[in-house]
Amino acid sequence: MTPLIFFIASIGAIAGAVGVIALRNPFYGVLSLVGHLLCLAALFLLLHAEFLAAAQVIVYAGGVMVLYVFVVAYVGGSGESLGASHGWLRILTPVFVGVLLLELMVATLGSGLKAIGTEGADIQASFGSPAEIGELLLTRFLFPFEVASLLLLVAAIGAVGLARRRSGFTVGDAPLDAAARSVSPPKGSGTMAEAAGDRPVFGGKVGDQ
Amino acid sequence: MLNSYLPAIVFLLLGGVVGTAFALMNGIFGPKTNRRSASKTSPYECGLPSDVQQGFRFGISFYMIAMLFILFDIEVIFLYPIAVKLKEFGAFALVETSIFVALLFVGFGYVWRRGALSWR
Repeated sequence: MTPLIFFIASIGAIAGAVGVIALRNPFYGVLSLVGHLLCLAALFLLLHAEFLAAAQVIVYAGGVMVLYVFVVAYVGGSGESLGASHGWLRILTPVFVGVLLLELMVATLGSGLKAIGTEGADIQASFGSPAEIGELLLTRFLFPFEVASLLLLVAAIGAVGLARRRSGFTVGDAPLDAAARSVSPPKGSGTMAEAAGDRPVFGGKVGDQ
Repeated sequence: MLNSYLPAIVFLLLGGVVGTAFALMNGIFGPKTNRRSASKTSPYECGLPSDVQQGFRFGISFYMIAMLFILFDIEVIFLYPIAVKLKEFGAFALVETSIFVALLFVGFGYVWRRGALSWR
């Protein structure tokens, strides 16, 4: 049963990865990526890494993909498919992909050939359990763990900074909420009222300005 | 190990089979005329005429909330394994986690102060 699930999940993961680059519609691309991540979660389960599988589904397939869908909806959905690249990109892309493929093949063959004829990776029963990960976080990876919080802090500040620039506000340090009520965002900022067309915009009608 | 997941696998298979069966039955037994009529391919919004115009874009608030959700989602994921080992490591784990959470609270305070959590 385990080999069967391994092969189904592996084929699914590869098919999902191919789908991401092969499908022209970005929405289908994101959906394909969700399938790919779910298959990876299944592979984690086969490695007894239940916590990792759950985190994969909750954070990636759940959270990050929702953001991807939002971004796709924002920059243009099914209507505009990704066009073909042109100019020097057409030459550089295959070179980069080729080099990356070669590197991966060398790495995979190097470690993969050694594993043939053995029992596979030596996995203890506690491998991938929350307790094991917690111990590693508090001992070997303590510094990266603390740095991660700093990284998340920077990301939060960056997100707010980007959103401020996107809405076109330049009102000093005043809370955005108050600013939003007094200043209408420029056209194309993507407010819900704008999308609906004739709804009131920040205390007035669209036609008022 | 796989035996403990057997109910979940059966559940997934059953869900897939039932879903596929109903989709196929729809094609077999449903009326064959006007397969791709305009009303069938148009977006469905609770039976009402769609209020949203072409080129619809979500408000910037959706992105803010989604982005901040992911950040704090990742934070909470980190806390689970630490919580399991809290008793074993004692005060050390508590202090480390407190630093971790405190740094993120700075971010949370900043985000709140800037009004990024209020809906626009």
